[in-house]
Amino acid sequence: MIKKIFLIFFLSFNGFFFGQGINNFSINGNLNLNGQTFQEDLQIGAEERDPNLTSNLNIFIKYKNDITAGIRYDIYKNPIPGFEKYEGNGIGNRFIQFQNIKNTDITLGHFYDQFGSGILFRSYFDPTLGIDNAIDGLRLKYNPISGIDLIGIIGKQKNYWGLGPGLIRGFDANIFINNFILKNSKSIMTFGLSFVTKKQNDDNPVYILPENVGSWSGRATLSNGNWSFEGEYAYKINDPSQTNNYIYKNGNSIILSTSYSIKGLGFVLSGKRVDNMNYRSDRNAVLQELNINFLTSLNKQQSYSLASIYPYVTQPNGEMGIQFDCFYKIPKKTKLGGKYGTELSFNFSNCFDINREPISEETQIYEPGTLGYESNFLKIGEKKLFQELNIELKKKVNRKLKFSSTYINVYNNDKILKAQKILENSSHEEIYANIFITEFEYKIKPRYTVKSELQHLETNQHFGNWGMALFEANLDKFFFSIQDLYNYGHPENTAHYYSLTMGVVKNSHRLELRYGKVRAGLFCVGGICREVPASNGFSINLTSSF
Amino acid sequence: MKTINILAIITFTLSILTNCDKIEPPYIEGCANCCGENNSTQPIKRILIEEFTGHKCSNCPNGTRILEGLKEIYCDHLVIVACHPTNQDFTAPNDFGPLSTDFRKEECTQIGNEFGFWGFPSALINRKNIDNNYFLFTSEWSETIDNLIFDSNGNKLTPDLEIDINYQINNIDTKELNIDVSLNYINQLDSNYNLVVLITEDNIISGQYDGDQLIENYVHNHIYRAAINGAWGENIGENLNFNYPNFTFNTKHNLNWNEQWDNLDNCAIVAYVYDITTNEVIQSFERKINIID
Repeated sequence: MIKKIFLIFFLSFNGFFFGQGINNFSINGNLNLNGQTFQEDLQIGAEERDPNLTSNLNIFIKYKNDITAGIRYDIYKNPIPGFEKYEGNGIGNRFIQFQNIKNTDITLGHFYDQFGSGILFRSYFDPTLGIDNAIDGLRLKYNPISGIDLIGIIGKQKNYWGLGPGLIRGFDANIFINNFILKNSKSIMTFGLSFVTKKQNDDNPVYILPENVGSWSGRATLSNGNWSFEGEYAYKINDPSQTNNYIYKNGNSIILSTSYSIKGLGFVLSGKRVDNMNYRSDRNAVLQELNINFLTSLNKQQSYSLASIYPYVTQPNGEMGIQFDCFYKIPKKTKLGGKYGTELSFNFSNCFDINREPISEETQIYEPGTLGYESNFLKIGEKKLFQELNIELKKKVNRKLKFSSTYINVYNNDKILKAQKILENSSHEEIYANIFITEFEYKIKPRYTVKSELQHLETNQHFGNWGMALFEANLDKFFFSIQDLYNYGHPENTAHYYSLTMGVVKNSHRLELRYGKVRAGLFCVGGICREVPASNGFSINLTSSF
Repeated sequence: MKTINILAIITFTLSILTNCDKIEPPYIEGCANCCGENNSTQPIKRILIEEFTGHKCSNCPNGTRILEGLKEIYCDHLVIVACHPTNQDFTAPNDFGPLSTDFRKEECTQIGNEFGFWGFPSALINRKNIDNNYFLFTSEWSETIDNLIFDSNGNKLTPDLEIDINYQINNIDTKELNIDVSLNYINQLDSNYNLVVLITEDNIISGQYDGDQLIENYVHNHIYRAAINGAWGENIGENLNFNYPNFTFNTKHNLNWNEQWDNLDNCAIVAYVYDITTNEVIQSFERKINIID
């Protein structure tokens, strides 16, 4: 039935826009399709389940550059645990956008956007994390004069197939200072201001709840030569909710960053503090549901498989930390640099809890129906939540061979974060791990490369030591890889997680077939995580743009 | 056009800025007729709250504090049972030290499994299914309770039946009780029902994680101690109408009193009736045991 609908849909549009040759119209889109089988594997704790199919088809129709209409058809058949509420199929997104109307851009329907870094407002779609918090409403963008961008939004957030109960209203202004003053200055400055409110009825018989929760933020950037500074501060009034245990404390968050770069050398130093900034359009929402804002994580985004076993999960109720990221290239034709130079990267990040004190002797910290706690802005909390040190060396040996070597030292306070799966009759613990990674890449000829990776994770806690080996070949349009993760230090049940992947890439189409085992754990993007259950089976992934 | 747009934006911004509700203490709603008392002339609806909790669960005391606040508001309308299932890390006792008390009950595990327990702290409120969930977050408790006690016009709902519990202490040393549960059907009941009787205990001093702190002398209340007639009770029939049946139980052979549980004076007998087809509890009652009587 679904196939028939798609076929009719495609034929109709093809016939109308291309068949009739109406040049002012154009149509494009993309398709993402995933399917997976699940067989029981007691060794890794994988359950037998019905095959899963997930698909997102986007189609955009444009009239000149003035009007764009879009629709996304989603299919979620037997979604994996954590995604059950997506079960079904239907139109997941539809909008119409009018551009270039006297410096005004109007969108009706679903839209994704963010103000600044997203500290107050960000709506986005990430099917791998199960996040789709699009706003269904109206967005108005307006440029009254050159150098000033204004955005106004109003609408409700998408929540699976329905909408959240809260109404979101927001306004953002971005001003390019050099358009008005210091026009000839070498310094480039911008300034931004945002306001967001959410409205939700007070239906709680116990607490007097704010029906309108307002928030504002200010941000500024300054760059001069090789230096750049960025800062953003956000403030939110009382917002008692499920996630903060119904306390009435105001929330705030600050993020500061400075960077310097010249040829062969660059560094970024960042710091942030978050205090009670969980901001959702439904005060009863939990997990990844109906988040209005997005709090940037300040730690390295790991792509190596063993390096992502103990990720840091952003704590919107309170955290403070720093990150220092540095890159240096030892010049070519020096003793250490060799013929092609040597790249060195260093990254250090940590995150602590914030300081919290009871508001009086009679009340507990986080006691519902109170201000919750007091927090000294500059005082670091007693508990360290996370720390990571990354040192990476990349070296091109000759025109065909290059290698990299990485050392990572991780501290993950799972005793507090409680994000890792644990064995029966064990407790969450502080995890210390050392990770070593080497990678070789050999170019046989243009578009023909082979790659190998060896990784080792050493820890005395949690599930113990891991080893990993990967071989990958990219042969023109075709790719192939085989890998094995071996949890040989597991206290109860050592297990191999092997997988075999092959596929083809042609133009803007990519097809991947895979068979293998996936470990249970956390999958994270930018500090936002979801739990992935263990699985054993075949999978297919197709991505295509047209 | 430009002036109109700018004015529209200023108006929009001002509307956002002026739409903020800053709440000043006290943050608790006053409720004139929320409190229900067992000795009132009219029978009152009593809501069974099965609080799933654990002494190693650092967020659970917040859930308990919410329930204590609700109990102050709704008084005898609430019958609380604190359940510690056996299959959770947060409820496992240590071999020694402040967390060595074993609060776990297999019946709690069965109830948790049946209704899809997903995490602490959460509770079954009359085993009512809300949006395909039986276990409800703390934020959902008060609204669910209120909707079960009041109708849409704010009038109190009357129960379909009334439960009364009487008891006799046969032997104080062996804690042998004779329990007599009587039911009084107020409305025609068209479904099929079970009666469950159990014992809870208050004032147990033992360890509890509370946030980052381990409170060594935490007071545990409403602890599920013993199922008198099993986790699911016994069938009392279907299509019930206006009978006054009595059910008598003797605890001599099915109560496992042990060293950690030896204070009869801190115990209570809880009885509830639930609809087998919907799982929903239709009435409950709690009788404190008083050895002086």
